[in-house]
Amino acid sequence: MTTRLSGKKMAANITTIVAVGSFAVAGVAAIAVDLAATKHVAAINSATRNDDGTVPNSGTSQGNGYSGGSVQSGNGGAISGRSSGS
Amino acid sequence: MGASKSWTVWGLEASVAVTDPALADVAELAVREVLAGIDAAASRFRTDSELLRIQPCLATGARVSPLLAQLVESSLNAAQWTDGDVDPTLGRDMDALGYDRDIVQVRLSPGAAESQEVQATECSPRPRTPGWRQVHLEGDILTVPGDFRLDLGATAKAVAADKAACRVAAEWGCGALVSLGGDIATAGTVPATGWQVLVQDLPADPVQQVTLKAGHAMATSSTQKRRWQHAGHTMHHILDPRFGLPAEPVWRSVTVAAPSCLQANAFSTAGIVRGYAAVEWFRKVDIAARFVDRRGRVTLTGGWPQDGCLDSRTSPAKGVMADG
Repeated sequence: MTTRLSGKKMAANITTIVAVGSFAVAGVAAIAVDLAATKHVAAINSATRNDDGTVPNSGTSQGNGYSGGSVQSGNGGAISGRSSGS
Repeated sequence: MGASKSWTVWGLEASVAVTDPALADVAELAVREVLAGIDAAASRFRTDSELLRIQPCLATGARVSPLLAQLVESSLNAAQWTDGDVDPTLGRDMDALGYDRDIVQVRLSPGAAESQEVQATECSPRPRTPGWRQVHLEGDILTVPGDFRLDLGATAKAVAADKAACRVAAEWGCGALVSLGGDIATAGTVPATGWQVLVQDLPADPVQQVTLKAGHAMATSSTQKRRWQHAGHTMHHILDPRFGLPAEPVWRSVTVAAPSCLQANAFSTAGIVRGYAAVEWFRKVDIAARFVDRRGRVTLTGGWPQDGCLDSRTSPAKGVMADG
């Protein structure tokens, strides 16, 4: 009996450790996302417009990968949505 | 095989597609709830919306709900990302141009007389003070100078799509694609063939089928939709914040793909406002976009794919000009 209780207690402890670890990983991921977003915003804002509408050649925002490969060619599969102006 | 539901809201088509057909009905309910909440918080056409109720107090600061605070913050983010091309303080300008009710009541009239297009250069425009930098949200206290009225419409719609897709995926453990008048957000798992999206503004415009990456989003801004007559001129709803008048329609439409619908919407709107200069800007910051000009020619930036499988269905005279 004592052995079974110890086993349950050990299992509970393991569960707790795993849960805490998961939250820690989630926290790190959230921070990473925030940092990435901040980087994107900084890069985007660095390309401001001159009075004549041209973009200054700051050279600081080349290829920051903002779009993150958001879109690729279609594959002919069933259409799930349509993007048009509203 | 998934399933989808569609309905009309805010004068546009809303739809939700889910990877599990059995969840289509509950997904629709979840999306409708999200939209109802945002409408109640931020509508500028409902006298009972939170935004209109607190309007008299905004000059001195008013306490706002977490949802309205999020919508205001999102609009200010969009303004910052676009250097003010997207400005949430254009409500009064929009009212002055006649867009002071639901667009259905204002009489949406796509394809109206091009010759009477109102442009900044034709109306002796007076420079307008950009308002977004004067909007302050500190905690839950929102302050807006009395000269301005908030119009959160575009960014609120995008946030709605983002929130609705995330809610459906989180609550029901499926993949979801939510479309609000063509502003698309996805979340959760993807169908076997990926999220396939058809990009096209009006039926006569060039069409392209693309695959949207899981969890990513897309938005199209158009100068051909949400048009109405005002003082004998045809208006469209995307205003140039420098003048408070419809932006010069050098593009029929601009479509942007991005990690969130808010970002996609901000840059598609800014693409219209900034005109030709937007192409260089987007290439510089690597924004995936598809511009369609007045003659139906397509310009791509930031890794947007060339036309592929739907070439045979492309309508006439729609060559791709260049790739970023």
